[in-house]
Amino acid sequence: MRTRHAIALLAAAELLAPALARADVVSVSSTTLLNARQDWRNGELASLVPVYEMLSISARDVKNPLSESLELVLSTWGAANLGDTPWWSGYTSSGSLAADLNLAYVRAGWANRAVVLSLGRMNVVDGVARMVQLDGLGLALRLPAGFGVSLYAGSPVAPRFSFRGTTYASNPIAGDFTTGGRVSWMLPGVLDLGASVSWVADHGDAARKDVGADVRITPTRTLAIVGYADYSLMAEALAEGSASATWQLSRVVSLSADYKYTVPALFLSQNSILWVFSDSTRKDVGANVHLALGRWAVDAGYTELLTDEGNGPRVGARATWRPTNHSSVGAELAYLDIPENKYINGRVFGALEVKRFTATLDLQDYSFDKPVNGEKNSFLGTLSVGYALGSGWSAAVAGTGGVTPYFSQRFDVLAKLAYNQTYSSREVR
Amino acid sequence: MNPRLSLLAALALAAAGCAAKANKPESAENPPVAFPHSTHVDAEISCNVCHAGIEKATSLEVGKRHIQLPAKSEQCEACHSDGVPKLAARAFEPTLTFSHATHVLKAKSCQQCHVELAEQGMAKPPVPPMSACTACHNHKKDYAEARCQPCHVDLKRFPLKPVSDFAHQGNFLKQHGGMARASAKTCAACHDQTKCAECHTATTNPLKADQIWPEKVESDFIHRGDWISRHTIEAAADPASCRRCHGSGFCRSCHEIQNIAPGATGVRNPHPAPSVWIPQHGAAARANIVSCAACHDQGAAAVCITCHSSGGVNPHPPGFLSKHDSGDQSKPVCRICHHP
Repeated sequence: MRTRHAIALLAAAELLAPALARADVVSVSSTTLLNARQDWRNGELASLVPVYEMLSISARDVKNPLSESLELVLSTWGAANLGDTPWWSGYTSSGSLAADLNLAYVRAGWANRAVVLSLGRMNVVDGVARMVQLDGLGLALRLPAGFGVSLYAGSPVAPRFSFRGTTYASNPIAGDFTTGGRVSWMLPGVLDLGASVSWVADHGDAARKDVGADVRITPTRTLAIVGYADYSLMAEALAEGSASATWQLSRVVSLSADYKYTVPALFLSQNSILWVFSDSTRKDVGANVHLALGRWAVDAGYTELLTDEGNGPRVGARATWRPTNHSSVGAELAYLDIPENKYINGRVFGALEVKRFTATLDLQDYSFDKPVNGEKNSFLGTLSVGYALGSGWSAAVAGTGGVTPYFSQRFDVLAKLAYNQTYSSREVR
Repeated sequence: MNPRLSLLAALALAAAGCAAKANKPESAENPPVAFPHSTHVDAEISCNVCHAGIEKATSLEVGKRHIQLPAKSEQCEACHSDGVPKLAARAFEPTLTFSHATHVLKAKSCQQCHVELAEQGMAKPPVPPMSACTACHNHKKDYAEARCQPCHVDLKRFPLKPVSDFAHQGNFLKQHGGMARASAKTCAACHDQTKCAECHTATTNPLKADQIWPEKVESDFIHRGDWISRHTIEAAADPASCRRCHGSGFCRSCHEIQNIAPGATGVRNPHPAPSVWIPQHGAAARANIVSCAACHDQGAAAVCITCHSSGGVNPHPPGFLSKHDSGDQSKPVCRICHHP
């Protein structure tokens, strides 16, 4: 059945081709990956050899008689297992073939895009939607006097078109229907205010009823202040609140500070028995600085994690040096200390481009305070070599090896053929 | 037909269909700039000596630089006694809808907009900054509403480095969600959702981003490297973050095949012995119920019901019953334990 789904989806992609030919701009990205690796299957190490084909097509300004602007977006993939062991973990595709759609939507605009209608599989990010991936429709209206309305309705996406809704759902929006929207008012360049609602139903029962508010203030072009609150009507409690400010002092220095409050239990579907067992809260308070010093870029940040069980810091710093336009070297240090465990992470990476060749190296080490799976250290290194074949084609091979708590020894190999190109039929409107 | 062959054939057809019907590839790479503008500016050669006719140009045109060198010029021959060197044409694709004819009449000088000129060795000629446009044009409303198309041809195809309050520097990975909630249409000016899908379609994606792009060593992929070994630590640090993308089925699908799930035995059981775990599990669940949901989120069939059903051990946090009436039968989740 799933094989038929896969073929039908890819045939649909082929049928889209005539529409793409009428588009002003078509961006195509195709990636073919052959991967050989080991993974655990029921306590035994098994060898897996999957081959993946990932395809993204985006066609913009498609000429049509019905709308001013029309956009088609498709992101899909198919995979075949060349080995004997099923490579995909889970309920949904333990056979030798798998395929799915990440995105497949049509978006049309009217009245200088004051009315925009989207139809198909898409992501919705507005307000309290929490970036829901859904099969349905979205409508955005730009109204006079700075007002705006966006609405969406549909069914949260199920992996491989299988479990839709129920607590077994892989989609975090564990329901079979969701709808919501956001009303906004904008004072151009200064203020953007929004009020939003999200409602999820699972087989007729409410699984989420949230209302929220958001604000974005830009008192100057270099300072942005963002605030957000999400209130759960079912739990009668604030599920999430956040505030952040980013300030670009100059081309050299950017600063940011943020605060976040969450009640993790209210991120579970409210038809789950588990959300009524806990009301613990998390708060994060942090600040970051970014320095752009010629060929150097430095980022450093500190966040204090405040939980009902105890507090701890998350600290990180990264420096990247670009000695030439075709090379870069970087180093990262990170430290996390929470009641459950703590770790120190060190990472070095580099990239070098010589003519059509690009080589990268990535070495990463984690040292854990308490053993994870009996081990206190994790080391992983990846070396990749790529070659630009021209006309948008490139090829790469990558090898990853290491010693981790999950594998006493690990070695993966990946071969990749990629095609990225943008086509246009009309340069200037 | 073999289903595997069908799949590959469909893929090949889709890719070939797109390639065959696309009209024109992007321009080839250009050599570095060869013309030294500063030498000519210092020699006080007027711009329109070479750029004759620019004042009549109503649009930027493909492959046209609006250069018309005079056939014979005393100004040129004063320095170029052995003839004006010929320069290779540079491929040029306009990224703006722009009329020099309209602007030349109003500008005080070319340098008012062209604050930096192309010089020998530059990879590409510098274009006037957007501040040169906004010095005269008030685009505050267009900018705020992300209506870029009247001037910018296609920001998805010709991306620009975002500036000021939309800059993607520093901690942008952490900040971008909050910005997108209020400004999704602004994001859409430059990015279609295929960009978001690289990370945000966890329900359907087959691989982590760093597995697909191991060569992108500078990218901030949130699950980079040996994520699986540290995922319980990161989940404990920010449980809500996991649930933004992953439902319980995602966790269970992996835990079951790894035999780290209800019913698992021996070392594959993530909990200590029952005599140790049972006294501890309440506090652990209060602290991070999302971790429990990874395996035990089966609704009425959840193992929790065995002991915590109505009349058993009260599982609710302190103060819960003051807000929620146990007799409320309107919520299906309540009816699992609280029977009428």
